[in-house]
Amino acid sequence: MISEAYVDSLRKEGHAPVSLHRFCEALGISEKDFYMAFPNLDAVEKHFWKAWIESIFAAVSAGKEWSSFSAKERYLAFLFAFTGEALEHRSLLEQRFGKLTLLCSPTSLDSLKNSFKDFASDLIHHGMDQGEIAHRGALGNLYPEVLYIHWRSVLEYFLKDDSEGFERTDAFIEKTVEFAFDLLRTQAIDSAADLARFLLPQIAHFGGRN
Amino acid sequence: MAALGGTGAKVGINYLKYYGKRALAGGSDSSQEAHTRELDEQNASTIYDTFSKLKGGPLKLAQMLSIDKNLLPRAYADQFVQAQYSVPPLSYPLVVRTFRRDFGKEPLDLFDTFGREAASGASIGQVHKASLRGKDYAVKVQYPGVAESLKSDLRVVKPIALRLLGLRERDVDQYFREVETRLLEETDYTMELERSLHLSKASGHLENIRFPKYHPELSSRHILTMEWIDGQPLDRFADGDASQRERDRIGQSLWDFYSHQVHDLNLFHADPHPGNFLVSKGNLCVLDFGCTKQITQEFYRKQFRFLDPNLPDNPRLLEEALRDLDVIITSDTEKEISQIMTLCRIWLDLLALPFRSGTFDFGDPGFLKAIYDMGEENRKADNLRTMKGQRGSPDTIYVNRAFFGLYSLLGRLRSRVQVSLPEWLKG
Repeated sequence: MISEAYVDSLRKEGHAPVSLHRFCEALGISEKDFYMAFPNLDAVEKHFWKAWIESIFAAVSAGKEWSSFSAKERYLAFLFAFTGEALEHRSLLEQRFGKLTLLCSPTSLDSLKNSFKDFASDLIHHGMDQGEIAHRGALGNLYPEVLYIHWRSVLEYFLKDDSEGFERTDAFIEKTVEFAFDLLRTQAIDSAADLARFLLPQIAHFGGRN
Repeated sequence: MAALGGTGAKVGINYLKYYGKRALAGGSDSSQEAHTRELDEQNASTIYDTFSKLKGGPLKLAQMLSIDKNLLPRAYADQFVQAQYSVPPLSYPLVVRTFRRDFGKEPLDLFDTFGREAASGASIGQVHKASLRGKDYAVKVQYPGVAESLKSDLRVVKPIALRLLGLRERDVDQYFREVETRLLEETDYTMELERSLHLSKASGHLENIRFPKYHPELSSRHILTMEWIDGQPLDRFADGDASQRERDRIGQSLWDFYSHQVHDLNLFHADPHPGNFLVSKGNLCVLDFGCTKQITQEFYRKQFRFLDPNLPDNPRLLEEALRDLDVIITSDTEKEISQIMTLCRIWLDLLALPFRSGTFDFGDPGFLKAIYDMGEENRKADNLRTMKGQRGSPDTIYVNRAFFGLYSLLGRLRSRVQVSLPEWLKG
């Protein structure tokens, strides 16, 4: 209830409630009621986005064909469910995250990062078990982070997309995921890292002599 | 014949060149492949050549319109329009997404089984095989964003084509619009469903022709569901070991189908590509009504008047017919008029030939080769290139495309077909 009222105020006012007291008054609850549920106003928004993305994870993984999906199909299924659900909140997403770049991350978005990374690492493990994603030791720990950055780019693309039915976002998802899993599947990353390890000292060496 | 009516006469040449030559080549798969490769390379330079050298005249139009994917050799079509949609195939989750968006349901909510891998590609989508209560269905799913991309592609291609060809926009705008309209229609499966239902009903009485049953309740803007038909694609049938009798039968059905649509319905399937037909149990199945063209009765009469056997020998009638279709325009000099009429007679002698003989053997390799050679010759002709003005109706483009396609399919089938003039031109 608190969460809904908070988001409702975000949508209508175009900004977060400023006064906690007034917020509680409008909602007809005491401040104590509020603090029993949340430590501060910011936490309400964090909770909202976290619960939202978790509901999408739950919905897609309950799908009939989920268990037979490859890691790539699972990730795609999530992203398409996400852009489908995101239509419900598009204006809010735009208001909150529309002007962000990949490097600048608001705390409200950070709240769902951990949930996302849990989901992503399950996905990566599934892919490794199926031989779909190559094992790369410590480097593999970065994969959930990479998927998170990718998901942020999908969100950014979606918010800028002005095509009919946001069909271009669908195409963006298809193509980028295809490409990303091609990289994860093959040894391309290892070969690139190996080549870089070989070349970098030499570049430094020859560069130093000039 | 039809092709003669307008200046778009040469529109089909690229198309014909590809399919026609392939039909003539015949032979084993590997030689076929080698030949296709050679053609592709050859086409690469031909197209570039054409685009950079052709200026003015009616022929420019043909080159301009070769942006229409099927007028271009397939290899080019892929590069120009299709490449970005066809590789790699749609992922299954995106198919699910498309279902959710259009039906609010997933494929398995609607079907008992649904193939996750595409059974085949379609021009702007892919076909999945599904089943429901013991029946098989072919479900065509469109690539996302196709209409949007097509529009922006055309916006990009248009000024480049105009500049390369040295054309003024107002000279060719109506032809461009025609091609654009047809291409965009192909992206609307709701319209395709309507046309499919209409044309298959209106042609249902024809012998040896079958149409899949369409399922409006399982179709939407991006999804088109029809009965699954097992059969042999027309190109494989044509290149296989079918007997002459079977070839004649299928060829006749194809001919009758087009005659009925053009002469009786004035609405026709304008994409006679072998992938759009199947041979099943001795019948010809028509699979895809994505590209159809409606013409008015008035235009139909003007265009098909050229089949009148008396026309070529009567200069007054011929000139009148050409003026009616705006192939000869008021600013033309005597010399230009005479050039156009001479060319028109030559084309008529060749293209209307099937209509003059009762039974025509499309298996005669000389026929398609003669059409191809004539197209090449005209392409090089300086006097045609320098002719100015906007000539012919945009409606001619798809009439030509249908007939060039039909001729080359029949050539590939090596069919002998009984041909008769429409009633109003007899006697």
